[in-house]
Amino acid sequence: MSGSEQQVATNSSSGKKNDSVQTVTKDKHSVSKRLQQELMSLMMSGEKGVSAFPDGDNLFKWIGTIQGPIGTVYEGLEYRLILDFPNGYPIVAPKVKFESSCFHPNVDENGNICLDILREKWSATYDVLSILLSVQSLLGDPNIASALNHHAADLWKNQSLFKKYLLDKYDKEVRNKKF
Amino acid sequence: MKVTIKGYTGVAVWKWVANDDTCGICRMPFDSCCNDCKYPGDDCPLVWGQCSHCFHMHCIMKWVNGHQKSNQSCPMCRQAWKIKEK
Amino acid sequence: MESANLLRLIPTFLLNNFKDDLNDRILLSLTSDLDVLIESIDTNNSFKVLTLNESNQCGNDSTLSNEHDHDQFLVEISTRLYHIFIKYFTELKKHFNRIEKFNSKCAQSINLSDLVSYQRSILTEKLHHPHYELLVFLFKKVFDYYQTISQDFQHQTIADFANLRLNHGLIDNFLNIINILFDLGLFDHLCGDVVVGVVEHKIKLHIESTSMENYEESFIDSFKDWLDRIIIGWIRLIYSCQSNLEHLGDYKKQLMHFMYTNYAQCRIKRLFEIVIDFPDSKNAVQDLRQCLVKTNLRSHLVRSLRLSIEERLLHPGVNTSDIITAYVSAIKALMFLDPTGVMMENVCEPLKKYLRNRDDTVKCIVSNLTDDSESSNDLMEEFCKDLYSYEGNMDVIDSNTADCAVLGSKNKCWRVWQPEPVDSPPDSTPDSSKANIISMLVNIYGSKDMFVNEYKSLLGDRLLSSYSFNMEKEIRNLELLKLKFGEQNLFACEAMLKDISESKRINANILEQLKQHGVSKMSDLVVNASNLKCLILSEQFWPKLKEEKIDLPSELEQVQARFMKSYEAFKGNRTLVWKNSLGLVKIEVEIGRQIFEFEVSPIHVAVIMQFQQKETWVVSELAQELKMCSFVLKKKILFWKAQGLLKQVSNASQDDVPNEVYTLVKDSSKLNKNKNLVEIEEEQEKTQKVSDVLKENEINLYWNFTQSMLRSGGCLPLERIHAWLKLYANPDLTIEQVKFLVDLKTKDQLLKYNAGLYRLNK
Repeated sequence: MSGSEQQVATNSSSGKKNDSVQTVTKDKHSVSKRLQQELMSLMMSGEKGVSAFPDGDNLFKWIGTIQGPIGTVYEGLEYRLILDFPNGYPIVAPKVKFESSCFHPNVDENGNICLDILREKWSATYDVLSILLSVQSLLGDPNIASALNHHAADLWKNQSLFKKYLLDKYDKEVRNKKF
Repeated sequence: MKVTIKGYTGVAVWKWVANDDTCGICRMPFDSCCNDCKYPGDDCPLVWGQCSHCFHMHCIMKWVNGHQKSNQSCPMCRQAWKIKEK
Repeated sequence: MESANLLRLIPTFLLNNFKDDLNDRILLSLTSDLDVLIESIDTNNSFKVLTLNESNQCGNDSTLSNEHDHDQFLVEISTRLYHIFIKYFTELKKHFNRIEKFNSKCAQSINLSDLVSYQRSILTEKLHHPHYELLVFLFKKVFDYYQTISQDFQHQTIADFANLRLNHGLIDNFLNIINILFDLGLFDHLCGDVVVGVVEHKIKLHIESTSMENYEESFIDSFKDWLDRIIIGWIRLIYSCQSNLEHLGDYKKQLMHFMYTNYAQCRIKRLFEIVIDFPDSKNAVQDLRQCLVKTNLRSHLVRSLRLSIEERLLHPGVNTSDIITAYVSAIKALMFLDPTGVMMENVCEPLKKYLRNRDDTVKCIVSNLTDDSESSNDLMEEFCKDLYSYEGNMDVIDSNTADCAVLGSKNKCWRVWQPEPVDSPPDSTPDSSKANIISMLVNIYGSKDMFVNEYKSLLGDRLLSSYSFNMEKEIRNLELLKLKFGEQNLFACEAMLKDISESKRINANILEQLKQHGVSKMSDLVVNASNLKCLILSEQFWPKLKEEKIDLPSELEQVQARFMKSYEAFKGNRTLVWKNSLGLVKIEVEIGRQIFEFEVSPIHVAVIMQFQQKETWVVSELAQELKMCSFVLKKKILFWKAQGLLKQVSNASQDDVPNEVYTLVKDSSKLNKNKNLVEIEEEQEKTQKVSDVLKENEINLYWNFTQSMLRSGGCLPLERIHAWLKLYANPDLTIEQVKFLVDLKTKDQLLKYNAGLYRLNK
């Protein structure tokens, strides 16, 4: 945290930039306070099914995990997500994508997610927990109308076929990559 | 016996009169200050929207100013954000 | 087999061949000679030669009245010894010859040389014992004599020694004896131990007598020189008749090591005083540092110093500020002794722990850091004065500790150390090292955060017990602390002080409002700045405030309600929550014709006012009336009992608090007029000390952290888990606590441990 602040400070040797740099540093400070707060309340909540933790010492990047919702084709599967928090968080939404490849109508091959609350419906009162729960529920309840993965969207109608394809892909691309 | 009170040095804590305890934007208690402030209370006041939701003034200002102009809504209920004059 | 047979042969062999056998004749004559000698010594000077030891050795020195007597006496002893040996060893030699002759005649079954050496060992063993003390005495005395004359001669060559013998009869006699022993081949056997023993004894004595009480000088060089000149010269003298002096070099090394060890031990024995005297005792520490690299005494040092610190410092009789001063001294001295800081950590551990449990430690540190008025114990000045000299050492902790661990030898560290280059990074400026010593103090509490928290609660207590708006001193303290701890660590304290000054402003405003509304009196309370005021706190920034629920008397409730109404009018959308166990109420109690004044907490007022309507109360009923617990109520009642206002009437059994009955005392002469008693409130509730043991809810929280961290990070070593828990959950968490947590979860099979890494057991 302090390392990145320092970096910001050294990048701005010219006097003109100083003001904006100060705001950035200040923002970073208040964002990290909010993230710290979120982490603590996430840990206190002891929520099952989803979890998240900063990626090492960097409080601005978290690794989340979600369990596939029970009663859906995703039951028993686990996915990893990357959450990148901008300096404007929580005014600006975090960038959230799947780290593990995820076969889903609203997830493209790079892991990008099409989810309104991460875009136009973002609110400053959302947090990591609400994001993870939303993504989790998206798994079992895709929005076929705004699909990113058309193959998945087409297949969704036939759940048993979808499940077979999903599990094959999961075995190949996720399970084998695990540490 | 008769007891009469001649003087009082009281100790009290102040509280905002609000429906909630914490600000939904910064996650800090209302009775504390937003993450950008040092002191609570006068230095970091609350504001109420017409939708009756309230936030630290600094927090909701950031949300309203930072967001697309077309969509200046309360982050809680998505109703248009208008400050309630008391 | 063979040696056993040999053993069985010998007694018969001796008996058969030597009717005039060794025991009877030689040993008897030897013993009688010794008796004569001892007798003469006894009558001469009341010596107990055979029980000589260090202490009466010293005593004896003083009984010798003058130098001349001394010399005469030694000449006497050595001459006698000389004669005894001559006589004895001549006999001995004869015997050996006879044995050898005998053996050469009938040497079929027995190995001759075996027998001879066996015989010799029996003889020398018998000789050894009665002579040892005597020889020690002789060597000691001759050494003392030698030391007095050694100043004026060079003892490098054989010619020097010859000269010496010529001029000093004692030395001559002494060397004669030694020569005979050498000739007989018995010197090493009889005198080897003696030479070593005496030399070591003399070294020890010399070190102790010169340096034990003197911490201000360095002695290593003078000791080295003394060893070289006196001791090595003495040994050369003893062996001067032997041409073979090759082993002297090794011997010298041994003695050098002996000297270092002894000097170190001598310093360690007084290390407590040395540490307290630091930096006046800097030379002593420097010497010790030199000794430590040459000896193996580090753990002994740590153990011994810890013990004396515990015995002399860590008990209730010692002032906290004295302990802190000693702690600072110890830090400085030990960092000088061992710049890696390892020794300091080891020694100071119990000190830290003890200070952590003293109630006034933070107060002492804070006042030491901030009080520039008191000259008595001015830690601050100490810091500033000495910081420059330790700067280098302090830096080593940061930069070299890691290297040392790699080298595996902490001793090497200070030798490897180099002064900081001129262009050293800004964090090695004196300021950061100043922070270092202070942070050592602060580390008593494990971390800066804990210290700041302690300071916060101290400040809170102070502000809430003085009820005064005068905070100049506190503000100044805080400014000083901010310089050292950084501003953001003390935001909360700043907010607390701001609350107080803000309260003053609000009070003024509210009084003005009341005046405008024509409120000049509430019940009997005359409204003005000295009778009505309120501290209005921002609860989030204060230490947890004491919470006691109670129904207040209506008079007081009215005052509060009126005040609150004005506050709400002044600060829109904000209200007040009263803390009724805090605050002071000034009351007048009228009994008979007399009026007594008290200043007590609102709860106390509530209690005593109940006795206004009804003079006798059962504790449980009164508790119900006031909506408070019987046991808390009892404490408040006891306060009024101590004042003489209440007395107990029924004698309920001791454990039956709710059924105790108290009544009002109406006789004003019984009242306790001692105003001071007002101060002795019920015993202070101690704030809970941080405990090393994790509570269950903490375990759950940290376990949630650990789970999430492992889910996101895969598998991690203990150190990593600890570091992240510290970073994200609690900076004060120790690695032992984390180890406890992961061990617990590994036992429950929730974690898997493999090759140094923990992972979730899915």
